[in-house]
Amino acid sequence: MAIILGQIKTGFNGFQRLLDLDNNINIEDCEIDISNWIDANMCAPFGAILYKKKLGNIPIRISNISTFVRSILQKNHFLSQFGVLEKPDSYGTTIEYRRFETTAYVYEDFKKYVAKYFKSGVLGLPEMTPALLKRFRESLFELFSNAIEHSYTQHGIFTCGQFFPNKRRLCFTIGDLGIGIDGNIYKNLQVKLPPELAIKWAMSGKTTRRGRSGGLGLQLIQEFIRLNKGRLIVVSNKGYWELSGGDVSTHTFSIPFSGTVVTIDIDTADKTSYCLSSEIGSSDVF
Amino acid sequence: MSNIEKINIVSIIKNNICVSAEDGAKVYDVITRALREGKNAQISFKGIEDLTSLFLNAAIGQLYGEFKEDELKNRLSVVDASSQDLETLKRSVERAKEYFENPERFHSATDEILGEDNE
Repeated sequence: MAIILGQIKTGFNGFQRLLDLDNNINIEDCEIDISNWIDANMCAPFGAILYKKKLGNIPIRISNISTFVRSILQKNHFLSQFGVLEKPDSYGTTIEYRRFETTAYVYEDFKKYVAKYFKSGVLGLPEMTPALLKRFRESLFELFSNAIEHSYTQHGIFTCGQFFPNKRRLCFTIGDLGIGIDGNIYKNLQVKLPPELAIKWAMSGKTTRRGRSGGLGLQLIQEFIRLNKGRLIVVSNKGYWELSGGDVSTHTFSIPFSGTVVTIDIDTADKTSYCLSSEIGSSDVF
Repeated sequence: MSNIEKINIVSIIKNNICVSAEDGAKVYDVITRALREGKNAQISFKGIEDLTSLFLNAAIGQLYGEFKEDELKNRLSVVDASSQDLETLKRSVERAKEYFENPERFHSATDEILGEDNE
């Protein structure tokens, strides 16, 4: 019997439904009914969960997918794993679903991917100021690097995104099947924190790497998102942390996600200069 | 012979996207070598497209664990940096100074994190 996947929007409920799905696919042969809506960027955690099941030799089939969702998931290549043909994206609003192997070339692969979708003049990329585009790209690199450096994953990094031209939004998600933020803190600092507090710890500028200054990247992204009036969501193990409208909220899931997922959702029409301290002279730096 | 070594970040890592700690470490090695040879280092950001704090922490922030702040202030200079990159660099340098002054502060699970939720 097919498991019906509820509507997967970017937020607590969407993640909860994916976690329920993860928990329920434990039989040898499983079919997932995808008749409801899926935010395209949520293909990253969805794909991570399916990949984990594949590693466990659980054969998954999909069914009942709506024509509209099917079209989007063909355009972003998510359905390729089920043998469904890819579809060209004539409007360029989808950002390909990818799993990046953590090889020696992983950064080069990700750089090419970012250049393909987030370069001025690229089809589908909403009009953005150069300063906003640079901050957004740099945020993606910070998050991707964090996943590589801190997750200890053997299963790659999962990414997906979507442009929403009418809403003037750009949404992008990066996920891994690693040890989670709480797992990383315990591994490196031997401190046990509940998952939601572990996320809060990481967002407060702390670092697990001894002898190296760090922890700045997530703070810079939060500052960027606050100025942009965007949204930043971190899911790690049972922890859920969200910055939205300038406010932070946290929740705890009943079922864990086996890794960490970060979503960044920005207002593409934002004209902020992103040069907060334009008075800094090169002689003042050191 | 000039006592200033010109260090071009993009030339060292052969890329204008400066994001990984591994690439940052390559720049760190060149700067430390110059400083140990008694030279001053002029670091050029020319051509950089993307820059992360992770890269800068490894390339420049880490110098504060090796050299004294006054010495770095006197012997390092930066050129050709955009105002956005300069700001990221400034933040990375400030963080490095704070970190190497009291590393444990950045590793601890302090009361200010746990306290609010335990009230």
